[in-house]
Amino acid sequence: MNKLYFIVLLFSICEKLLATNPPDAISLSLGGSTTAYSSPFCIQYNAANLVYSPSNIAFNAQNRYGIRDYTKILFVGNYSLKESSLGFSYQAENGIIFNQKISAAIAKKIQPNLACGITLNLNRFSSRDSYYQNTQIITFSAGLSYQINPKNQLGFQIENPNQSEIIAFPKGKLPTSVRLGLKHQLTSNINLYIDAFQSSNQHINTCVGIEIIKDHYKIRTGYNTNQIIGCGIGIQKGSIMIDVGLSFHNHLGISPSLNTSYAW
Amino acid sequence: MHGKLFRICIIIFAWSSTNAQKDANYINQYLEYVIEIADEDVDIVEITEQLLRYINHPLNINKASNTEIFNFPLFSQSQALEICNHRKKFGPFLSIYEFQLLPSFNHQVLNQVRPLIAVYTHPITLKTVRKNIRKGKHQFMSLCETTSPKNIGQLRKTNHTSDSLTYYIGSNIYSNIRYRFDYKKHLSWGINLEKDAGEQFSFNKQKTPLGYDHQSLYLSLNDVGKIKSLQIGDFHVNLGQGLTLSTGLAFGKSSLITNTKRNFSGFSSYRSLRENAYMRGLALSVNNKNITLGSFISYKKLDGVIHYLAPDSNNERSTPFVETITEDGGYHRTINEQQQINKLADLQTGGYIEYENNTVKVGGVLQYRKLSIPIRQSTEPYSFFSFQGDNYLKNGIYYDAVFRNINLFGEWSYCFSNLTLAQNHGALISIHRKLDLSILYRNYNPGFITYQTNGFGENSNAKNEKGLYLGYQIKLKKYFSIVGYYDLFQNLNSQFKSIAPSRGFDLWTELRYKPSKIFNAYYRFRKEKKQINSPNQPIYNHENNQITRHRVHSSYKLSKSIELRNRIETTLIKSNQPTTRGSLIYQDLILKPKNKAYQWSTRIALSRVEDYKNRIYSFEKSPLYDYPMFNHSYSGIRYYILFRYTTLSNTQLWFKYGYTQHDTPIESFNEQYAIGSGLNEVAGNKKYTFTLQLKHVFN
Repeated sequence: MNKLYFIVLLFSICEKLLATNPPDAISLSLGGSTTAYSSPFCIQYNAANLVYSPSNIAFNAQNRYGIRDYTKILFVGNYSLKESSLGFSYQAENGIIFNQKISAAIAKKIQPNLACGITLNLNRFSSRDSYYQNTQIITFSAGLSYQINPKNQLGFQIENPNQSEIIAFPKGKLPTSVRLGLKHQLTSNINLYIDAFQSSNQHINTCVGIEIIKDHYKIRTGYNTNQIIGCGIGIQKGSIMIDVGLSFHNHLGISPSLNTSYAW
Repeated sequence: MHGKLFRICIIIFAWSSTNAQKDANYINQYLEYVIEIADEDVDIVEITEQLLRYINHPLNINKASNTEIFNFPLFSQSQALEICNHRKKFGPFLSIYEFQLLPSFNHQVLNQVRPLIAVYTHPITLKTVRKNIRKGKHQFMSLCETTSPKNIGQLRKTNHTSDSLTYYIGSNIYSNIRYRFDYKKHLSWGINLEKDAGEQFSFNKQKTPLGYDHQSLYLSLNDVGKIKSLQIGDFHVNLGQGLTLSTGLAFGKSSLITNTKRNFSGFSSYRSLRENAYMRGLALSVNNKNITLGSFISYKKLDGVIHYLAPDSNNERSTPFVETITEDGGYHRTINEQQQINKLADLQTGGYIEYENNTVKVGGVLQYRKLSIPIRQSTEPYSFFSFQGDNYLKNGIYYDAVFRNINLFGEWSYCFSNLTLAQNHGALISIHRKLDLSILYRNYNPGFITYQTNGFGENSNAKNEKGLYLGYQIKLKKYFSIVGYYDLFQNLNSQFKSIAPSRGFDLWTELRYKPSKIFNAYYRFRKEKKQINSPNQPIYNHENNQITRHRVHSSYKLSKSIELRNRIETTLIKSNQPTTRGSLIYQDLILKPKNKAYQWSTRIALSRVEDYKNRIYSFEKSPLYDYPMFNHSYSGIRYYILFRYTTLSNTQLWFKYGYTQHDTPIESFNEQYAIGSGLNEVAGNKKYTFTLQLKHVFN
């Protein structure tokens, strides 16, 4: 029974970190403020923005705080149609609890300035220690993205609203989270991102990021109130985009992240 | 200024068409604007009625006095001033379009306010009313609401094995039926019936009450010949600034800085469902030129818990008394609550005299009240100065005057029974077209009798308080405006949760941004500081309790049929205890398809609240007359969907489904979750609410 308690505790810690840690290099370098950001990785934080992204295939590798067990890989892809987009992703995170997540998303433009998206996720938790039983759960998330005017865009996402259950007894559930983000175009080549992130097991977290675009380069920096400061750079060469992000947590240390993507 | 303009803007919704659906939209927006920072104790039926009456009876600009024009809530102080000056200089307005000559009334503003004002109205006599009575409208409305799963009160009833009196006797359904007839504002009658969830619907004549738990009837005649108001049945009396006598609704501090002033006008019919907040009997006021005389008599029964004093050497029998009488409540769900029904007889009588000319209104009011059982306060320190006895006599003198760009108002109220005085004096000043100010000073004696009063203040009762309030509205640049107030107050004696005299302040500021008709946003900051008892210290120790709130809200109309709204709000409470936090994020989606009979709204909200004190209120779209404020006092999720369907024959149907889910703490190892408290507590962490309302209007 003690081990059962232990695994639930690990789940909870793992989920807390997952809930706040930005999922890719762009998000990491913007301090997590990407609810209104359009990229192939937005299947992770607001699927509605997939409609603004061209067809893509992308890969991310990330480590958190220099801890070997917290290494993650993420494959994403999306196929864009005229007014809609289909997306998929596979994520695997190493650790005492091995976490895999397969996601499928559909995003559609309802109006010229409004898009919505729904993502279905299959989460699988397993352990190298054969003593622990494996478990898998299905969650979903829904997002909205609306263009207020050419300079301002708002994004909203709710993730796991039904609080899917990891284990029946003792009761363990994945948290619900809500993101609300604003993208503001300061000038023609500078974008400001502000997000509020609320998870049911954490205090509200504010994220602010800025992106400067210069020719084929994108320089990003940002922070969030969960003591993370991030910075990064993106380089575009034809259809290929490479993003590097680095974040620094006040207590836990440095997390590097690398994206590569190919668009067509 | 901007607040007024906002109200004018939202009037577009109500008046671009004459159907009732538009009225409901207007009311919903106005309610949100006015009551969103109020506490839970707001009579939503009363304010909805007031707004509907207001929509139906435009203000005659040429007949209205200056004070009436300044009191008209759709005009800012500067606009009212321009109207009064223009009328003084050039005489009566010949046409509504003459308003365009005033600097504050451009074509757009005039279009927005035009349906609410008139330059001519026909004089009404009793004969006219009799002749046109067929033009009046009948309205029938019914609302039902129930929740799932069953609460403890219901479960105890089902599994009733012991002789405990603490269970709900009736079904878990709230229900009301309302019928009324209105011929303009001049003649109306109606009936209101209500049953709270848990109360019994009884056909048994032996039981009290029979049928619906709350029943109310009224007949009302207004502004007919020399009769200013005749009320038979249940009615309200609201006079002056509400210090002496006011049974109706009044707002406290809000974003409308002109709410510091009460715009009461004597007798009116009682259409609400609060079960004690009314008079029952007869009221008549007559008007001759500038003088109005009014008188009323009321007799009704009140609920109460009867206690008995032990007999002493002089009295052989024990003496009954009650500790308090309340205007709210009226729950008769358990046997204990039913045993309190109609235990006191309440007789009230009084009258008022009022002089009003174009710029000044002055009046005096007198009230006498006699209860069949005396009030005897508890021995708590905060009750030391409170009224004791079975009768009291109060009188008040009030004034309301407009001089140049200043509207002065106030009231002195004196209670002869315990020789206590309460007074407030204020001014609404239009300093510039871009700057309006509101100032109010108040001084309420600790022993002042506050039954049936509505004095402006920090506390819900107009007693034991001294303070100064300063409100402002500034139009900054093209798209920006700022509204706010600073209120400094002092409690002269101990009060609930404060053993000694205390002081504090309330600072409230809102920065508004409205670049276009389709988008608006605001940031709101509020900070309150009070002294309260320190739980970890000796009882005479005070500690500072500071609440800070931040809110960011945006509203965006994507198209004529889709609107989206977002909000982020946080609270932070600091005291000698550990700091606690609360936060809320929500997304609204409102769909109003053009030329369709239906519309719906939905919300997803996620809150995290560490302590009940950190609770956050949010306004929900609701059926007309239903209470729209939701209390996020927990960590969890809230969804709702409201559907409204309007048929061609003036029939409207509302359906609302609400879902509340408290968080299941991830680290928790037990499943003991509950929503609510006491007999209202439901097992588990989920609660469903279903509301259905029907409204039918016919001639």
